[in-house]
Amino acid sequence: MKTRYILALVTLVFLFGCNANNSQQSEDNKPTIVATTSIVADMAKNICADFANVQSLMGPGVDPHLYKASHGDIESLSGADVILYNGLHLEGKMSEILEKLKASKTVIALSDGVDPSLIRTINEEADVHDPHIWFDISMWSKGVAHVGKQLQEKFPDHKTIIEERTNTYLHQMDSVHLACLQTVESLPVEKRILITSHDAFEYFGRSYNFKVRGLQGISTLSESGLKDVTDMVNFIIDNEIKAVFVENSVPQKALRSVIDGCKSKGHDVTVGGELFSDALGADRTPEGTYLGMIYYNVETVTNALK
Amino acid sequence: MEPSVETHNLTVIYDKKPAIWNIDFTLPTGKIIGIMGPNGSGKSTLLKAIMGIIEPNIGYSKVFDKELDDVRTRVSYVPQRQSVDWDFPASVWDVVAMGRFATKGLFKRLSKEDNDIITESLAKVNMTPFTNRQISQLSGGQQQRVFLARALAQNADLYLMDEPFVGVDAATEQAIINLLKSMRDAGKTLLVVHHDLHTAQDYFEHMVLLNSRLVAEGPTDEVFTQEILTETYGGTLTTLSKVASALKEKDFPMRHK
Amino acid sequence: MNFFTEIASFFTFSEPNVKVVFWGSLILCSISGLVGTFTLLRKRSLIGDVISHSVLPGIALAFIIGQQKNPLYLIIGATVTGWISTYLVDYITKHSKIKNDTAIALILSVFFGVGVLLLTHIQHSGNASQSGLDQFIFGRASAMNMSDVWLFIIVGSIITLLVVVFFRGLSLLSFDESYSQSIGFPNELLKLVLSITTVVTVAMGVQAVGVVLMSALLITPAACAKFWTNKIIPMAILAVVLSGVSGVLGSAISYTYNGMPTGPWIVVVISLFAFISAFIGSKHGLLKKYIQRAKNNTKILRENTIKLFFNPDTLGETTFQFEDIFEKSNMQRGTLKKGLKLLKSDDLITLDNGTYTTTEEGINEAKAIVRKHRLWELYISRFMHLQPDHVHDDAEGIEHVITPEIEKELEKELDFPTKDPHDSDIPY
Repeated sequence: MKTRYILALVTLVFLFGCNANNSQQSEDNKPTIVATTSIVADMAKNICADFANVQSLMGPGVDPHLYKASHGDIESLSGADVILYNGLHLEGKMSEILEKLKASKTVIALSDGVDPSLIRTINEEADVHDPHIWFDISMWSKGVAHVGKQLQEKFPDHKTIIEERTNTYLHQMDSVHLACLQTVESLPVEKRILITSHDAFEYFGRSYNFKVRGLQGISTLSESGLKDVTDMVNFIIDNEIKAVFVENSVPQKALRSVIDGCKSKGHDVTVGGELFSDALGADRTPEGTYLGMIYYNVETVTNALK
Repeated sequence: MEPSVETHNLTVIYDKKPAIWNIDFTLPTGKIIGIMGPNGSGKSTLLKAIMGIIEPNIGYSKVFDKELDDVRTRVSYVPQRQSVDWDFPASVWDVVAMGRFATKGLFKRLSKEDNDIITESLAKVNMTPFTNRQISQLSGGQQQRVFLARALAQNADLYLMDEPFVGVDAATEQAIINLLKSMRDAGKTLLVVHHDLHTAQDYFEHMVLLNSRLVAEGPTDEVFTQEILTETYGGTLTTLSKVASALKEKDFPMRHK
Repeated sequence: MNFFTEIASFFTFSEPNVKVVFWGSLILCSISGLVGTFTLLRKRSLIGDVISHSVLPGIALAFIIGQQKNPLYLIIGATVTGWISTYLVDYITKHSKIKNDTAIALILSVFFGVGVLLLTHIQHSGNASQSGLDQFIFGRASAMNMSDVWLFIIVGSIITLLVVVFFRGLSLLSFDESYSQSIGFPNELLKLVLSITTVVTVAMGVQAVGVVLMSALLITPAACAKFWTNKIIPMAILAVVLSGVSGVLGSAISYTYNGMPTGPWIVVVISLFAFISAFIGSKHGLLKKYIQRAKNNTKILRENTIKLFFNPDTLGETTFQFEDIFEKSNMQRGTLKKGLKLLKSDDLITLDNGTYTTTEEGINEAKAIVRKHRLWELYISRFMHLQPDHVHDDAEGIEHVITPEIEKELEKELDFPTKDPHDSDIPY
């Protein structure tokens, strides 16, 4: 008889685990576009919101490197007309699913629109790429343009509006990029050293002339070793860096142990702010949009290091 | 003259089947008493219930006319040899020393007196040359003697032994029964679960015959009869067992204390 | 070499983070070795695995409920579910038809599954910056900080105190539970102490080595120690030492290169210790067995070879060519050659121009072996009533084992006989 209680518990757990994501069942006839990360979704919303329902699998603050698609996510993807994703293995644990879906759906990667020679590779065999391309606005523009074109082909009825919206978005991106450049001017080059939890900001560094260093590698999957921590401590001390930056989608503990290490060695380094790395901020905040997020990062970093 | 062990309506139920049922007896002191019955008749269970290792579902038992907890220091239990993993990192001395824990408790250190008692106990069972031997290196008979020495070290008045002659060579068996007899002569009471009918009459002056229920109890020459033995050992499906099986099958609840 | 300079710099504590990880791993691992000793002795090694997998949902729940990254809260959560899981395993085993190992598999997988479920839920909720829970699966020793270490010290001291104070009771409980009960020891209390200390140890330990590897850290040190000692106190101490050393060495190794995880290295080190111990350990080690066996084989070969030189007529010197002696024996050529070499190096025979001759010592040796052989034949034919033609093979094996003491007993028992069952003389 006690076994029945166990079985009941197990079934309950099972049911709980199977609760579907809030997937909008489109009652209207609008096409559904599903984006993986919040950054990709932001772009999609800007371009397609007039004529399509845009869904984002990952909400604010969610780490795309570790994200495993749930049952509800699979349902959403199956019901989508178009699937948009970042590419370059950012959505590391979803690559198989995305591959499978390519056979039956329109699946577009932003990275496909980017000039391959600009993409940073990590290893000697040059097959592991740094996927954080959205931090280079000019690179991301190419990706956005690529998606825009693909969408025009997919939805010929909405060709005009798509083209219009894409251009508007691209213009906005240009202006923000200029604003960022101006803001950064106020920080002397020697002070432009950006330390974060993981290696997400290389393209950012390229765009705004920062030296960049992350504690973990390009994916949050890898554990930072003891040596990585001590090397970072010494790097901070040697370069007299006054602030490091935690990230919204990555655990802070490792970076904090770096800060403790510096303090023990007599160097006072603080948390300059929380940057948005692989995900946007909360909805209805300025950082909840791609452009808002980029500008916020630039401002925060510049002010903290001044 | 206080009885050694008394049981009243003692019943233990395992998994809805009674292992022992309604056991009622009063045993004398100063005798070697054998508890016998076929396999599965509840002999070990009876000992464990008296020792408080198993809670009886119904009924109770008394030792020296008192609750067990009041007289624990006067009672020594020798479990079945196979109930223990002899690969344990302990020497012969270590095991026998456990006999002194009964009086010393969880924390008190062993004194010189205690050590003397341990040495003596080892000598009584002829295990002195093996004092520092690791227990896994002992033969079956030697292991049994170590258990016995542990019980002796407790200096109790009542000894409950579960199958002390199983897997033991003839010489050891002889030595053990001689030791038990000398203990009896010194006024101790010994309650021994035994399996071998051939030696029962030689070893025991008093017997308890069990087959989940009490078949008979009394001096050996009174109960060691053909009739009683047949009742104890003959036929596996007595009415009681049939009822027990039926109860279990239909999932009837057993009455509880 | 780079590797060694890094190891050296590890131990000089030139880096404050190194100091933290050093002490943290040392303390965690040592406690684990101590508590694991009893887990092993009570034959509940699998329970250690259940606990370590079952702490995961507790950690996740503690985070969901408290939204706290405070390690104390997480440990409490871990302890709760870890403890519930052991309780459930025992309960299911006792009160249902499900056997112990089935119950273990059931509870382990259900709890771990729920844990992963909850983790995924947390991941989807976007609070990752506060949690870092995913890293409990494999541990994140490199991110240890001083408050973690202080927690380990305080909790670890309490655990050590409990184990030391109750050591006698715990040992007896592990060896003979029913006897322990019979002398009135508070078994329920002792079991509770043990299960709580084990669960708390696991809850703390998963931070260093993670959920998946924690059971190794619990059991392996004790298993390793068992190869070196037959007494429980040395075993416990050795387990603590081995475990602590592995903690430190593992951390040191993980420090030598970038990107190396600490937890897995600790487990690699202690596992290596265990493998080596299984081989060369002074108690039950394989190497010792092999060496003993080799020694035995040499002795047997020697005696079998010199036996061939026994002269039944003169009881004195014999001379053989190799081919003659080869024919007489039923050994392989190579084996015989080896045997002859042994005899020569022991001065039992001399070799001159291809001819082997027994020395004085060799003659005595041959007589001795034959005597033992024939005594034994007589013994078993007389006392076991075996036919004379059956006794030879048995004696072939036993003759090598008969010590001088046994020989004397045989002679006495047989009343100093002069003839064996085949009516040959027994040489004296």
